[in-house]
Amino acid sequence: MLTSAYLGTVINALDQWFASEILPHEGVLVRYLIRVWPNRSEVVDLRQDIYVRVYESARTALPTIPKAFLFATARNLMTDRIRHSRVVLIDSRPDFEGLNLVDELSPERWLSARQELRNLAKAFDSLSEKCRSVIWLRRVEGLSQRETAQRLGLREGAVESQLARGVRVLARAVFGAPDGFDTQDERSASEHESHHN
Amino acid sequence: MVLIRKMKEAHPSMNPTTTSKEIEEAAAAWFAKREGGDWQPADEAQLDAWLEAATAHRVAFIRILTAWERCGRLNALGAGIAQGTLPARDSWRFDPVSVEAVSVGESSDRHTGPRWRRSRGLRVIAALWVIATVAGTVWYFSIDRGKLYRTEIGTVSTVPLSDGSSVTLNTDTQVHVELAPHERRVNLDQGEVFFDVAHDPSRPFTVTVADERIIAVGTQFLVRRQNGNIRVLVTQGRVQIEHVGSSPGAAPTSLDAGFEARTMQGALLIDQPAATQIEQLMSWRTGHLLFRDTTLTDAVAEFNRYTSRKIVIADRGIAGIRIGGSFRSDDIGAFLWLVQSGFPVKVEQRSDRIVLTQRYPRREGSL
Repeated sequence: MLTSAYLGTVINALDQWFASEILPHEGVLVRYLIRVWPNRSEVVDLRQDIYVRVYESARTALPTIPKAFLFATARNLMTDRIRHSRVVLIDSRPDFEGLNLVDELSPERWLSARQELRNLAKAFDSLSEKCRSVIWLRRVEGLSQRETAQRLGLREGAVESQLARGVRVLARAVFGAPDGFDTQDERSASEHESHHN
Repeated sequence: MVLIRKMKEAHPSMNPTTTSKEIEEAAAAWFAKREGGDWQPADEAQLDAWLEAATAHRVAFIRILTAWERCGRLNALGAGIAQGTLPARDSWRFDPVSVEAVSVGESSDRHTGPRWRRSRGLRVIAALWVIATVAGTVWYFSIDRGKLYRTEIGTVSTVPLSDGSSVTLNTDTQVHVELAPHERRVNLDQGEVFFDVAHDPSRPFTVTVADERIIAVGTQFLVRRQNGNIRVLVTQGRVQIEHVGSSPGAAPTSLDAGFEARTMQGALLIDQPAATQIEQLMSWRTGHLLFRDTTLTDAVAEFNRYTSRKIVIADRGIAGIRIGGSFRSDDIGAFLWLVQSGFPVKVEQRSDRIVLTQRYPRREGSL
């Protein structure tokens, strides 16, 4: 649940709903997509399109069972994509193993506290030294951007950019993405960045 | 440093972004800028405009905000670490109060619990497998026509015979098997069977289906009896087909591997199906149904062999829809889902049957 600190003008009730009812299923959703979608590199794209559809449908009416709605949307979207790509042969086997998996999963929405913390620690340790320092000072020690910049001897713009990079990596951990999923571009970008600073 | 320079010049992104990666980057940049401390009402308006520009922007932004919110869990890692100290990598001692103790290297607890649970899971699966095997096996009686083997609707089962041959019975099939000293006799009462005949020239293997007799010595072939018609497909070796009651001098028809014979109103039609067709005809043995450019009518007829709750096509308009794909014969749900989501077909589940009707376009988004 988003705290009041983020309840600026930009965050409305529907956003709140999305954050608390849909996003907790991201880990399961991504694993499912990886299993059933032939092209892994398209999974992030697919996830985004699914979120967009869910959000736009929810504008009209909130679904009764958000998780079921999320996966129904995922299936519809995949079907549409397959139809548009003119793939003729659809192999239903992996798909439906995936669906069974979804049904068998525990009703827990977020990862267990312990698992989440472990994922988070792992993701945090995977950050570059600079990025890791910025995240720690901002999130754990609660320093402002200016204070963080002073402490680390960086420009404020650099702190901002490291924060932006770090939060993306940590988001994957928080939402329980499988190991190594969607990380290649981050690592290379991070290395690239360090040469310039 | 491209990102920083861009942000100094303008806002993270006001351009219509395309890829999900770019959108995520932009959302994270907006988030970081908003956290930066130099956030003006004008910035808020710009962010609002960006969020309004596309739902993809909005969901990406919500996602980043939520993630940051949940990163508050990092505080649990900070317990016991002096203010102003950045902990070393891999140095985490998980707080035994807030989370279960995990020593460095993730030792004991991680292994004992899950491993026990896993092995128990395996045992459950093994038990289910045994039950399934026992329940799924054909049951038979010994009567004067030989042993009766039968499969229920939805079951496929292979039965090894004492002569080294094996018979694989498709759904809803019944055969009588009699292994005599000088002859091996099978009567196909109904359904479809794949025969893998052990070579033994001294004991011909004869399959009788209605008025046709298929004689093999050592070969593999498929026999299907449906709606009064008989179909024989030879996949290895050669069989001979003779009509029961035909004059003694009439020569039997030889059918080689790769050929198919079908009876049609007393006549025998010989055909050489394409490899893909053969694959399609044989796929049931692995529990799959293979369709290629198959009409909905034919696909439904095929699935109906495997279920007692039959699928009924109630609209002529959809009967000719052509579908392709591989399905598990025991997973009608997968088939119905594809039909329903890929074509203008409505699936109505009733207690005694499943009715397919034409679906007319509805508003996008309603499920």
